[in-house]
Amino acid sequence: MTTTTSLVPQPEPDFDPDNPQALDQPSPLALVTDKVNLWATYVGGALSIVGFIVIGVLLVIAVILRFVFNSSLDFATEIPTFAFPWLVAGGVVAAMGRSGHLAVDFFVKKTNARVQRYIDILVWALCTVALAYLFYISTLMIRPYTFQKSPILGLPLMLSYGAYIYMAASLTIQSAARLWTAIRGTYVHREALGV
Amino acid sequence: MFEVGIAVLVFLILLLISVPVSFALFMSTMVGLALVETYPLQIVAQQSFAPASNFLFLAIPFFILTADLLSSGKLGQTVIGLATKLVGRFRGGVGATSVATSVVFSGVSGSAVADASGLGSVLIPWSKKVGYPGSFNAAVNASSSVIGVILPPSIPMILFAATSGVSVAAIFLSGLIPGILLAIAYFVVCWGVAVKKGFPRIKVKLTARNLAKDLLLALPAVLMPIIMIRVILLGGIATVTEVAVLSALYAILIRLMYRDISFRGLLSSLVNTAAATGVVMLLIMMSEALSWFLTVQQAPQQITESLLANISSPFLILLLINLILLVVGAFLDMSPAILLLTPVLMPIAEGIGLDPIQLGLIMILNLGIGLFTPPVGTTLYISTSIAKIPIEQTVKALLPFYAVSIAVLLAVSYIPALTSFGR
Repeated sequence: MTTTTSLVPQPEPDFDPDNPQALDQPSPLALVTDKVNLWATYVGGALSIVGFIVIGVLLVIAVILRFVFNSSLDFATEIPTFAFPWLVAGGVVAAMGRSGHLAVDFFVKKTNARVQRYIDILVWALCTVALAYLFYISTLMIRPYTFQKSPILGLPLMLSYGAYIYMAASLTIQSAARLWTAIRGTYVHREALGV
Repeated sequence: MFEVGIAVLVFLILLLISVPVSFALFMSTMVGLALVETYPLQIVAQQSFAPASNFLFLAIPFFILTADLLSSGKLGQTVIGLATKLVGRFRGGVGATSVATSVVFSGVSGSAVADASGLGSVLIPWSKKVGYPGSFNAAVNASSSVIGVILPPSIPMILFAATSGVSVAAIFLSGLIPGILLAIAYFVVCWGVAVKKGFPRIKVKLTARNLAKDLLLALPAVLMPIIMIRVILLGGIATVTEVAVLSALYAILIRLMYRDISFRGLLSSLVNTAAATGVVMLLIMMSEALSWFLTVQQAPQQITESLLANISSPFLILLLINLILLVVGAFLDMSPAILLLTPVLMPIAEGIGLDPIQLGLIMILNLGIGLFTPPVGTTLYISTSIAKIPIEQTVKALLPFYAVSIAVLLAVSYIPALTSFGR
């Protein structure tokens, strides 16, 4: 096989395979747009950390008990399913605060800044209305979930469903804050938020 | 079907104006249900809450946490250094290093996006320093990170298993041969492109002692998939969720052993993981509601009947499925695509005698190719932004990677033996 002319220069390698270094990554809070979303991110993050610890500790205990002592703790398998919705809700809220939810912005980015701003207002207005409605319909399920009990501990399922209501409420408020930011057309940057 | 058509149309319009995908799923479901007028609208809350109570999905945050902890620490650096020493010296070795590292990390991560950003931020700047063009480095990183979702563990495979009802262990095992085939194909492309374009070889000092030390340090990452496959897949002594939790614990212990994690760093990893889980889980929850709506409207059955009535050849139907998945994958992220299309494609697969596990691999490969295909390719954008080059250049450099990926895809589609490993 013939080799064509080299298309690239041939510099001396200055990479140390014993110590490869990563690029500095931007802060996860770099895309927070306002104080409401910043505080929502903190609250969501704190909830999810608690969720992680509860689930992680209980499941590890459950596995150890099963393999080492051939026994089990009933609550160690049921409590994680109660904690998981809170971990998820905290994560959803934190992701919303950091502008982390996936969106297809390929086409919008092709438009000019003025159009982009109008689209931003439209998007967050639609989201605020839809999420407010999600919050409303989520409250309609409070009664059934209060009376449904878990099979092992007999706890009301409302304890885990509460996470869904919190998520819907927080997303509505965060979306409204994004709408207000879009209408004002001024994003509050990291320095102003003090993060 | 009219209501389904309107719901899908609303979903597409909302996507075009950049409404977050999960919110677009919710809004389109509400529109569809409002048009049908048969069901109470709060059923959306009930349906979308259900996945948050699914014990299987508990595995997702712990696999993400494991990947975050292992790829960002000294272990990640050691694996990259080891791969460089082993394959970096060959023609195209810099690209091959990226592929080899992706293969090793696929055993701990299960997420293409995590691999693309974690490995890309180390490998792309280095590859540029040693004289490889940014477009090639971005192309290798964007495509090879997809190996992470084909070799076990794989979050998209967990989603497929939860949606289709197949065994997680079976689909994990079925990804082994296609994943290895894809890695070999990418190695060949790296070598071929390097030979054609005259990319430089790099000099790496390799001594037996040095190599032994690196192998020892990298052992925790190399061993993890082997232990996992042995324990959960072949041994059947722990559930996927339990293994995910134990993997995360293992990752924390490894970081403590390497002394490169602080309490603050661990908390930061937990919040980052929770946010990543929140993105995936909200997509799952809202897709569940839309999938339920499509099912009660009998959309999958009607599409299947119509397709089977008009096309008799299973060969052509499989080709059509691949084409549809490639197009969908170019516009939609893997998680919602799997959750929305699995209920539609399962009856079609059944109609043409296609094994559900094979269908799962076909879907994940197609949608994986979509991850580095414009206009909406997550690993493509991540890699291009790290390389700081125009996206068109990366796409041009990706052409040979598309060709071999599609070759592997066709092989997986038409040779069932490739996905029958361990069954």
